[in-house]
Amino acid sequence: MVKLAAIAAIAIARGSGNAARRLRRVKPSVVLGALFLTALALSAIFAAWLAPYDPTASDIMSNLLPPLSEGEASAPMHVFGTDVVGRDVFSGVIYGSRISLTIAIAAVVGAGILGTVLGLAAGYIGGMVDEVIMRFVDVQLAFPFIVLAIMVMYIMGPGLWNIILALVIAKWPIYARVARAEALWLSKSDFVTAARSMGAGHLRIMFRHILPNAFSPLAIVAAFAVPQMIILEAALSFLGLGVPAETVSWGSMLAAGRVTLEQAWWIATFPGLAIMAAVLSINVLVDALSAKLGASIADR
Amino acid sequence: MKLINFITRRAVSAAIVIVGVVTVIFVLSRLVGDPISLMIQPGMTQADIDGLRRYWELDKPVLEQFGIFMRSALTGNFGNSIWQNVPALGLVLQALPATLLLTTSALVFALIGALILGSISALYQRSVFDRAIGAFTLIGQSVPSFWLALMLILVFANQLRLFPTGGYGSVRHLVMPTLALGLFPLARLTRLVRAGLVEALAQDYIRTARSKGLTRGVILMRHCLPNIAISLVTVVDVDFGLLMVGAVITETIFAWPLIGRLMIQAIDRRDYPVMQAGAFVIAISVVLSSLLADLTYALVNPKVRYG
Repeated sequence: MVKLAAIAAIAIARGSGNAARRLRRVKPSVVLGALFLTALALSAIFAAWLAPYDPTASDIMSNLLPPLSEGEASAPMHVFGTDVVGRDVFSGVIYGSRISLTIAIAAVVGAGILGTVLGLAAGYIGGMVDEVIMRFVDVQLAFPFIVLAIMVMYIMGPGLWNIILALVIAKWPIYARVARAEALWLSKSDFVTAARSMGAGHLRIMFRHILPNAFSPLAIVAAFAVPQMIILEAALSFLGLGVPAETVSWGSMLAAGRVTLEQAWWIATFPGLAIMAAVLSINVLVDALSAKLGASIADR
Repeated sequence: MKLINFITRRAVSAAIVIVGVVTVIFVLSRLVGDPISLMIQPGMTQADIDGLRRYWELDKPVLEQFGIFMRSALTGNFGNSIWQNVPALGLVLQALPATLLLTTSALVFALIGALILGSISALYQRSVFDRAIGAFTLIGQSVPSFWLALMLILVFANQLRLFPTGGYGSVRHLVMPTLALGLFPLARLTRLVRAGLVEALAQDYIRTARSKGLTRGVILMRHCLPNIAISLVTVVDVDFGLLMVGAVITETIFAWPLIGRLMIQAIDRRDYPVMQAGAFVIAISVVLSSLLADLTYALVNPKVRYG
């Protein structure tokens, strides 16, 4: 995602001579999305400096304060209010961005690598390998990924790496399908025949000749998967199956906010807005990028 | 004849998928944990515990358990729920009508809404409506449904008191879950309808139709929409599978007694039979709906032949 923001920034910055004209051609929504993502990435990196409070420190004397409440004595303002044990919601949202982004990006990368390797192998080798791998994909696609992720979390217990692993296991088949389809037609193309006639080995053909040509559809699928992963992680944490109980994440904040929805609307509202803004920004950017590459969000 | 071949082939691969799903759930469910250890109460002797284990046939080797399970599953018997001691399949089937009701309701809402919004967007390209609908679809695809559910409860149930906060039974109970679950498919389908119509409207036969003096409405209904039906069917089918269980959290929030919630409870209680029966019913529904989608392709597009 940081990379996407960077790409957008480069796209805007490129050609400094006619930068103004280029800027006008970029949609304002794309600029906003890029700015928000940059802010989010910065807040994830510098959470410790930006958050006014420790997001896990409870202060029972100042619990359930509405947004914009003054802190005690000369303490900073509670911009988004406090939760039922007095933890600062704004600090939680900032620290939550770190968890969400880390998990989403790591899970997309992991699922992307696993799915791509298996998909390339299925499409290139064919035969029994293809049959076995694709049956696995079929089984998994008929199996709701949220239930799969939940079971994996039950088996492994809460934890940052465990969520990433659960999401990788739940989400690799889509990459396998795309990579297989690409490998199927690319392996019949002339340049692959040429490479083979020059004595290239199977691994070399798969990773040096087919993979680079299959890269852009895979990259688009991966880019659209980042927001899905953010939502899925929030869902798991909402159920109490995600990050360990003492870690603050957007999903666990939503779960806490659900209990106090009637007395304190802000606890569930702000982390949800953060999720939505992050997902929206990525969608807007990826949409703009893939429109350039001639693909549509609706196909994915 | 070709259709029969096609259906046979699909039925075989469907059977493989279902056996696969059931096997995977068997393996995963044993890994989740031991249900008996959750039942132990103070004062129980080791003999009592062993008795419980024997009663549920959990004392046998895992492979033998798998054999017993597969044999009885073939006859549609998934055993009794360890937690409630009633047939597991019965529990799941009890939850099926409500699950199908909510899933269908959300999808119908999404489909009708998408046809209306997408058509407006495509007919008045680059207008204010088009832009507004475009922004709406982007936002709609970015809102997590469970958060939307919380916000709907906050505004329409807690503040305005228009709808009940949760529960299942009347049309009023159906409104908020339908909105919460239907928004994402609505947004995605709207984009699909718009994209398809924009493409269709630029075709030569549309110009012909227009030059014949047909009205916009007739052109849209008779010439454009049938052309995008195939991609709509595909996406609706995928969404059906997702909503069957993907709605777990939203169900929980609205306290609907659906299959997803039943599955989560079963996982939490290590209730193997219910997990297995649930996964079986879900896999069958998903497989059937994709078979239905394939048959619908032939219905909406005579060019599709199954060979």
